[in-house]
Amino acid sequence: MRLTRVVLRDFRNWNSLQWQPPPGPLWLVGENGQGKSNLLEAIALPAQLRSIRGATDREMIRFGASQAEIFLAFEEKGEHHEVGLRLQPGGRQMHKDGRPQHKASALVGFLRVVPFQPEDIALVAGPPALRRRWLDVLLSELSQPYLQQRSAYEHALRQRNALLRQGSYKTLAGWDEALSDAGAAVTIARLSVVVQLTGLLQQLYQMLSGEKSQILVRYRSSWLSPSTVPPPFLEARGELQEGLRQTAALERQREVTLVGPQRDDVALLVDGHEGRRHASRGQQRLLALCLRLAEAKLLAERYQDPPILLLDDLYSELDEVRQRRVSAFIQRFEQALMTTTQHAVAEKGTVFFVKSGTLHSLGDG
Amino acid sequence: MFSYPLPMQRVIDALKRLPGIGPKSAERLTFALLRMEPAEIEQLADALVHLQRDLVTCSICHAWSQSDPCAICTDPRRDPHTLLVVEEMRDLLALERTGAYHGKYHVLGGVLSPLDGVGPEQLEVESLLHRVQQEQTQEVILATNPTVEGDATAVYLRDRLLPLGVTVSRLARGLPIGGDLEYADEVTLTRALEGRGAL
Repeated sequence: MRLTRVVLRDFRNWNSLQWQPPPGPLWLVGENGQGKSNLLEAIALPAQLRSIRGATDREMIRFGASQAEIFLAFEEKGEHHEVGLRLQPGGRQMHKDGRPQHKASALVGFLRVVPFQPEDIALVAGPPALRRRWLDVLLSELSQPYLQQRSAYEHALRQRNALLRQGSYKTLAGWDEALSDAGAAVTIARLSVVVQLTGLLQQLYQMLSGEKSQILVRYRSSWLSPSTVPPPFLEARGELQEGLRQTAALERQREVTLVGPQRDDVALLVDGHEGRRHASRGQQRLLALCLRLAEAKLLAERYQDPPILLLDDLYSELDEVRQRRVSAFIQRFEQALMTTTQHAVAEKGTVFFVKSGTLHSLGDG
Repeated sequence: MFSYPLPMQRVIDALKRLPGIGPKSAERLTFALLRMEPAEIEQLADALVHLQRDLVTCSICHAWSQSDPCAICTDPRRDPHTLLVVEEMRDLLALERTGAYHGKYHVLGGVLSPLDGVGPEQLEVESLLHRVQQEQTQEVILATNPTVEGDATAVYLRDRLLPLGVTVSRLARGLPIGGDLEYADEVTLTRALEGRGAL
């Protein structure tokens, strides 16, 4: 898919933008603080429904304005679609192909983007919660049932934890069943993606780095027996129930549920060593980029259509050889928006200059 | 600043307390009420007054009724051996509309929800256990909604009811009519398989 029109009003430092981006690689060139990253954040918002920079709605509304608007038109397999999002103090208003939507889940998977930003190094070097969230967002886009199971699981978990805090256990068994049903489904879905990721990451990492490193993705769980293939549903459910039985005494003491997908991790191994601790910064950064590109490939396969890449400050830490390899890979996507401070980097593709919340093409001078 | 005359404001404030009615809807409804014929208004006011005055909850099944015990609990044609447990009276009416059920009912008055402070003590659980022991109940059908809370409540009730020596069943959960096996998730499919029925 590709964007055909981008309209912003009062989004961060973008007072007003009307832009018709062409297909292919697009370079947004400008000094720091001019609005390049803000533009990518705005485009990602109607797709992922939360700021890729972790900002609140209030922070994304231009200072002094009462509301912000994002309107995107895009083409998918020759069909025209539109998505609109209005941020205002009372909440959000969403439109999908001109129709108002009340549930955020209606927009999941509609416009598909894959963002990459320098902070994504935390996906490799940071705590498990970041990898879990990344996996959850990806899985929600890949499968509607996952979104439902995931929210059923979180709901059951909140109820069960409330019960543990209240110290009344006589209805606990009821929540165990709801929890283990949804928990098993969530875990199986995660494992099946982890299996696909392993092969993809290995391939991408070797291609972009030129190194022969072996990359492995492992799903780490305290309650599920280690396995490289997703277990059958009944087996996973049984193991989660067993895990709950084994931690029963301890969780009453700590007043919180101690086993389940909310505590699992996805470990990335580089040549058998934990990437989080032992990989170099350069390896971690490249691995993070590979995670995002693998995400893009999975989405492309699932929808038979490539997502839009939003790559923020991609080349700042890559050497020239790797820059060229990444460039060659990105050519396969219908559209990619990339920001950079160095004009010289922008070789292939259309160049736009960003200056204090305005956009100019090369021809504009 | 101009505000509504007191008689209007009173109606607006009263309507706003209803679920699903915000300030805007309350205002709109109040203007609609103003345009009604006096006779219609009196009918409405009369109906509202009688809503609570003429209704009681049935001391057996806890559904709203004009008499205690209610018409279903006293109906000799109803099968006394099966008892169907619902969250709210709305669910009872939905089942009655099907005409497929001929036993008796028990209204819980909600579902378990620790986050809202609702435990078994806040629901009609003890009265259910009492009924099962006193009446000729052979089967209890749990018809709580297929939500996280409905499931948890059903499991809790099952664990309390089984020791009393009755059959406990749950409304079948699973594939929607017109659905496609291939696109169902594991939880739905497993439940459908576990709750399968003879053909």
